Amino acid sequence: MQINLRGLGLLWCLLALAACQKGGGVPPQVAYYHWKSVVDLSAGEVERLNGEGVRRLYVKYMDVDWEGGQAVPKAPVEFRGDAWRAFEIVPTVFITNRTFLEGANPRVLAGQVARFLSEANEANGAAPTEYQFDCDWSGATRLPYFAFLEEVRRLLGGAALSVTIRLHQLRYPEQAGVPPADRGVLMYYNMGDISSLEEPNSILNNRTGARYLQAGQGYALPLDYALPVFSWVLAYRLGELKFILNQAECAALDTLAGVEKLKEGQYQVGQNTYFGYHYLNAGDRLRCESASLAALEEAVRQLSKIQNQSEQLIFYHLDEKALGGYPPGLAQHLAEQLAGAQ
Amino acid sequence: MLVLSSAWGALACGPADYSFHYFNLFVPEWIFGEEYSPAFYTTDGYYSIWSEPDYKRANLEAWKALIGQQVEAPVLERILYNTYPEGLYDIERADLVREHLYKGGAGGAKAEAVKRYLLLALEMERLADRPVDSWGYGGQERMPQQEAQLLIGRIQEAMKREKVGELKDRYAFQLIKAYRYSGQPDLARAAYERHFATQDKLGLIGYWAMDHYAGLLLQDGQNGAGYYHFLKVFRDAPSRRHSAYYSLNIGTAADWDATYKRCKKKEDKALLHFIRGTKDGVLALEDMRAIFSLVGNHEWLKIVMSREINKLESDNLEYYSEQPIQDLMAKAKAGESLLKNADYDEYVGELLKFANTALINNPGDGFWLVAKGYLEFLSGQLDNAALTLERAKGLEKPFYRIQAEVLLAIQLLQAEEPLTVAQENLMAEQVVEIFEDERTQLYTDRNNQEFILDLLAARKEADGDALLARMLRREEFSTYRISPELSQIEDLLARVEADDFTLLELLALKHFVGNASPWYTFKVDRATAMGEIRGAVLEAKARVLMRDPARLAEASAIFEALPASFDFPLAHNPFNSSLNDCVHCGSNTNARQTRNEFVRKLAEIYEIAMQTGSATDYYLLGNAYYNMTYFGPAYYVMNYYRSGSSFDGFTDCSVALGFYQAAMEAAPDLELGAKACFMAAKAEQNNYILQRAANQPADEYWWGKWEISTWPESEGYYEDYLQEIARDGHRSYFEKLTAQYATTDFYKQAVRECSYLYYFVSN
Repeated sequence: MQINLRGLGLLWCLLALAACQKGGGVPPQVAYYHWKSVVDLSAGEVERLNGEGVRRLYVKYMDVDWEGGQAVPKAPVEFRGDAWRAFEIVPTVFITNRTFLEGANPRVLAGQVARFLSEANEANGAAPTEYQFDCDWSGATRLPYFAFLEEVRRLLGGAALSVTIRLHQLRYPEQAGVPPADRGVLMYYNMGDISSLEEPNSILNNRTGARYLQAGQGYALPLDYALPVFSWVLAYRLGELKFILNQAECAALDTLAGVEKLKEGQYQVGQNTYFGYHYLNAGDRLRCESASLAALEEAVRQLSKIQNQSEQLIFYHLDEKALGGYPPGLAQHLAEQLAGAQ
Repeated sequence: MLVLSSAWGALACGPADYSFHYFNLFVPEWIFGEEYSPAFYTTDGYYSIWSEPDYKRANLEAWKALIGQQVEAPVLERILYNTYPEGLYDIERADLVREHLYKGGAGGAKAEAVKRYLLLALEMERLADRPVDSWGYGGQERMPQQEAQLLIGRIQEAMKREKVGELKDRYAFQLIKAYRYSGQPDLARAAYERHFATQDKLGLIGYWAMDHYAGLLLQDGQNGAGYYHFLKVFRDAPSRRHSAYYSLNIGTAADWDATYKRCKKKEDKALLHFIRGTKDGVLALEDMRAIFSLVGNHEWLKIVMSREINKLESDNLEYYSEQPIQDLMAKAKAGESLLKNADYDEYVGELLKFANTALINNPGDGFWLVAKGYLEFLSGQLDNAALTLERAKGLEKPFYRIQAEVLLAIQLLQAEEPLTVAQENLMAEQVVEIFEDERTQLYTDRNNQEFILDLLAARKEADGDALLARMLRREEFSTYRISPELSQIEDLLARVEADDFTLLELLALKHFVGNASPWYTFKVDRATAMGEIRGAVLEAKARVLMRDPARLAEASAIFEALPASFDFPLAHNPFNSSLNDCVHCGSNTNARQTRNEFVRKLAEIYEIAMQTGSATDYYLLGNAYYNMTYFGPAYYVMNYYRSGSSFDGFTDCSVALGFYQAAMEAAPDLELGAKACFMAAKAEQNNYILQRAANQPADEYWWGKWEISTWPESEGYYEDYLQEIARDGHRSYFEKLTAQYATTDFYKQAVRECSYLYYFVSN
């Protein structure tokens, strides 16, 4: 997306000043998710983080999935360089719902995960005081997942525990249950219908999101919020979603040979070509999605309906290229907007 | 599969279902050889010869050639593949190398060289195949450095010393692996380049080494070179093609161009297109065009087209359950495409143009004819498909099978009038011939035969013949016999007692009753075959009739009229009672009687009981009817199966309960009354279990929940259940037993030996 960064930067400064003058609450701390396996912060990323006053990074340490009849760890984190040491690290673990659906023993799994986390911290000299677990649990996996959390909390000895909460879990806590954690992070993104060619924006669809939020609603856990600052390209082949190009840059599609722009964010492949490490076929439809500034601001307005005082506003995810599409100061602006509304 | 003249040995398990969600009419296994991996084939269960590390046992053969006649082949296999042949599995592989590899302990310099190598290779394997600590941070992805360096040193020394060329190659291969697994990729690459890259012609081991080299090149960012070497492995190696195929995952135009540039020969370029085109999810049309322009009407082109068709089948067709068949027929009737959306239609249209062009250019090639015909079928152009397929005569067998299969499908989809006798006769023969199903198993792991049969079933359903439709849907008599209904059996009987059958009916009946004889024999000697079928159905009828004691005589008459092969000896005397039920406890009698004799006797006893009101006869009737239920040891008299996980067949203990009640009322003494009362209590309890199992939500009931013998008392269910059953009023006979028969010897024995009664009286 094309943005007049300078102009907008000035505008936000003015807006931020105005928000402060309105006497809003304390803005939540801005933080980022780091979702790549290798933690090797570039100078640009460090500059961005410092510029936004970021002190905390939620770093994915591993994924857990079910394979070959057992729970297996994947994508273990690797730390490089020392730039990351300037930040407070919250180790985050993503566990697929399938892991519990297939019958992973929650206590055994907790032991395995706790061991991995401890060894990773020791190997890298990290001493976290909080851990986060990300799992889109369902009715069928609620009990084992919650048992897992209880046990892993016990094994991680005294550290705080936070968990991700999705919109449907917020909206229907009776069915979904409330996980045994200290805090939740409401993931306010990926609520659109990704499989549909007609979906306007599966990353941030406020219309869909609004259906889950009611004015004055609360949650049994104090909540932080997560917003998206990433983009991706969805490739549809023969009318069906074929793959997600996470590494792809939307702007590159404008100049990619053999690809025709249909309208903003929508393209059609005219001849076979490679893009984003995938082989695209003639006839493929591509939809480039990202969260626009307006959508993010609307998202904050929606989130302010919740009766809650967030401490963290976490952005998914830290990636220099993706963040290049957002002006510096945006994160703070949104945090302040949220503070003004909370 | 049951034999027609079923013996009394009832089976514990019922039939199984092997359905998949889609079907394949375009069967590549019919057309192409086994040369290509199941990446290209269709069946879930297809065993991949390519996933074996030693495809076609090339490595084994190479060793045999090296070692010569002196080798003990099973020993060599155990060493190479770590298999466990009889007599050898207790011996360590290293000891096998030292002591058993050569026949008669034959020696010599070459033999010693072979042994030295194999021992070193086993050490290498031990180091490289250590269990990975997957939950440890960092895992154990590399060989321990110190051990690796020592091993590397030994390999290098051995290579220098070795005079036998093949062994030198193998040492070089081990060296490459050792470097690689110890995290020294540069040295691994250099080792390959030094030893193998200079060879004019590579042997088997050279290609195994090349496979590693290709991976190392990728690791080093030399993607064009890396992919090109994978291509060479795929092209030339007798094995390792599986890994080379899956490693060829080009993701950028730059890598594609770099790899393509290295392909000097047209065949190599075509092969690259072939590999790309066959990958999951890729639309291969452009790659097919490229292959055609490079190498013409090559087998690779046909495999890619075949794969495209199979992908279309997977993505668009369903057949599991009747609804997809109904939907398909509705689409066919409306002249609609069988594909799920307009995008697929458009793509298939392009494929059709390609196939048409290929056919025009190669008019004698049956492949393009059937491909075109089938693509027309998929796009809903049934008339065109029929025309395309019908015009070809004398196709080679593989193409003929697809031609016949698709034409049959079209005929069934388009039929509006009921099938004639001639049509049914022809279709039955076609089903057997097309699918080479001489024994009429009516099953393929591609579900294509099942699809055709489901179409036939839908037609017969529309023609008003529901029974034949069910048989064509592969219902089996064994399923009927799990919990048979008299009306079902009588419908079946009416069918099998008819005078005349079409071949389609015979085919369906043959499978229905599990007849495994060759089709030709069956249809030629149909009088005998149908006689056996009629007998089996009559036998089933008689078993159902027996459930009603008033029809015992009728049942007995049927049994007596059947051939002797339907009778069988009883291992139990159903007239005997027992305090504790034990279904599989073996024979409980020395008396010898057959089923027929027993039923005759049972009918007689019934008559006596009805006429005289004799307590003893009522009691015997009660025992017989109790023991013949699911809960009794003589269940096989009435039931063909006894499931270990569900209450099927004759389970109702009410008949027995009625007789026991009558026996109690007529009992001349308390002892007989006590026995009858106790047995009535058992019947009452069983009926309660059945009632609860039928009515309780699935997650509150599990098999064996109320079996007293399987609970530890600490679980608590024991107590809850035994209180529940009393609370729900199903302990009336225990109450009666304790109230009226507590002074009898039988009562005292029963309290000692029956846990349920003991609990009842104790609480």
